[in-house]
Amino acid sequence: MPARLAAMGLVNALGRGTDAVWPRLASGDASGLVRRGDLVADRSLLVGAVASELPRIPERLRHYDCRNNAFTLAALDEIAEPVATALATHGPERLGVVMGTSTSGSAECEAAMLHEAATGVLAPAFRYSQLEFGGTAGFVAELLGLRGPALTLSTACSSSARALASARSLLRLGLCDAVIAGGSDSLCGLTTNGFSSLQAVSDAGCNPMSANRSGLTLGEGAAVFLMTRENGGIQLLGIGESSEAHHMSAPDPEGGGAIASMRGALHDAGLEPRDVRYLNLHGTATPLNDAMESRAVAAVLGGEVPCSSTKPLVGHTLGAAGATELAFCWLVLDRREGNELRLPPHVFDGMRDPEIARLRLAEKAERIHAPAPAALMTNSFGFGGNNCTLLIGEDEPC
Amino acid sequence: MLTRIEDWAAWSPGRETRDDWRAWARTREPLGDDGQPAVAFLPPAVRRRSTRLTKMMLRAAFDCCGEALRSDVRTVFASRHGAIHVAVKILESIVSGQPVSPMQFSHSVHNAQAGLYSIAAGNCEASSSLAGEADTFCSAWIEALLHLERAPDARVLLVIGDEPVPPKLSPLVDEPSASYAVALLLCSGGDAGVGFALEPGEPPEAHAPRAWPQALEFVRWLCADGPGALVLGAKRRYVFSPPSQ
Repeated sequence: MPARLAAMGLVNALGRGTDAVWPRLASGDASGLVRRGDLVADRSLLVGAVASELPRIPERLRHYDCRNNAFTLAALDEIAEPVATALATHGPERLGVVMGTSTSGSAECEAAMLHEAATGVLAPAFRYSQLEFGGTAGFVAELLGLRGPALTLSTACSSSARALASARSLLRLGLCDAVIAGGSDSLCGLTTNGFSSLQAVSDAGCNPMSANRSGLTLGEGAAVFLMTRENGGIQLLGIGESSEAHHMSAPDPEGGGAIASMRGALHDAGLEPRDVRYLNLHGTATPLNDAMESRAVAAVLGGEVPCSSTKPLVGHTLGAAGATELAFCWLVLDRREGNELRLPPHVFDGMRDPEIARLRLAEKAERIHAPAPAALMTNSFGFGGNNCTLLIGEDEPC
Repeated sequence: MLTRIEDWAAWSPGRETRDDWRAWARTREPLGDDGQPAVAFLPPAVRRRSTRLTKMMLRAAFDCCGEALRSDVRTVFASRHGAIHVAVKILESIVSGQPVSPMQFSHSVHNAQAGLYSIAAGNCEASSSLAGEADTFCSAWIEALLHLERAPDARVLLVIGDEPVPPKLSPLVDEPSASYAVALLLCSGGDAGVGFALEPGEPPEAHAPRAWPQALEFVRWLCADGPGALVLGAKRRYVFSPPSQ
């Protein structure tokens, strides 16, 4: 059964909207990263912060007002027309929403607690629905008047990849005729201090697959898709999922979970490794992730598939990363130039780590010959050992 | 869309066995809030890292799912509030200028229970963790159905649990609090099992706030073995129909 990714909207450090993001993504423009001194005490942190102007949360939805939901709203604005058409065609009972997040409104809770520290009471305007994870999908449902299922998945850095998996199953089970699926995450004290405490954040900026890599760069943003049961266009072709049974905050160094996840997606799509024309790596630039992931990619796809991590451009958007990186793959297909695809380059210092499996890293301004239909893959690996790999591609011509 | 409940278990302070829950279903006495379950079955490394919520959820999970199946099931872990106590502690550290504990941060993720279950049970299968505001149980039931769509021959272990939120946030939460965990072992029912539908119409809890967490209303319904449907929902109308034979 088809699962068409009929429309997509996004916002991140590269900008707001597909037309703003695509040229900077394709050219590997890392200038969206900025230094911030307000996130972690005594530390200036390079982050992929969203600088674009954000829409205001409508007054009637004030109880959901948070930066996280403002990102979602900005991304939804871009697909407002096809979403309205889907609503008019199928009715609100038949539209669902699945969102992924790891932060929801943690930043607003922190602000409310700062107010408490100063005055003795939480900021009076603060609402629990700004903070709770479930509010991420609840906001979308209430905003659009959707009456179908509204689920928020939160499995750390694989949250929004999983949201796409659940969305397809909602269509296949017949619980929905169209689903809004994606993810949203915002920079906040909890994640920036948390990853700093794990010594996982790089001072110099993330440098994936380099011998000099020293940790991740955090980011923020949202990406949302309208998924329908139509043929044609760009389709979600395959889903792979696995758990690691290994460690809460470190992957299995052998890459067993990542291998299972990638093989699962290929099996689900009925594709062979040679059918994958590009892989968007999880590529966090922590020493462990890149060693593990390159080993797993070499084992499953071999060393010839062009790969890149786009985290040097937008940072690691955590709960939004799966949807954001799927959105980047979607853009590669959507902006096809005849038989050629432009790939997001792998931006790093060029000093490959000789100790890890050698991957074919996408070059600046690289175009590959890949006539339609082409299939692209993206990996998301999360804390708690939660992995999800997605495969998307163009529909076969009828 | 019928789903068979192969087994179930629930834990709340003072209520551990199915007999305890059958008795509760009749009397509906208030639940206790103090105490935590014995978790000697957990590997020491997992036990040391477990919060009270984790212990409650893993206890229900292990009581429900026998050893032979523990590493084979897909899992759905659901909680409205999740690791809110850990998150608030971290935010208190930040607000007061204290360093954040890396261990606390690793366990503040919403899928902490799922990750620890995976480690304790040696389970490498697909797993999701979710929240759905006041309709978290019904959302978890849907997510379990979605796993059965992707893997029709699989079993899904659905585990849901919550506890009262930290005092500073409790005035902001719009449903009664309780410390509990419920686990259900689910599989596709073919032509027998519990039916489920999302119906148009008024959510039953829109004007009559519930007395118990949704998951415990479901347990009460299971214990009652009655012929009637169970209608739940604060924002939607979720209808569970009794197992057909």
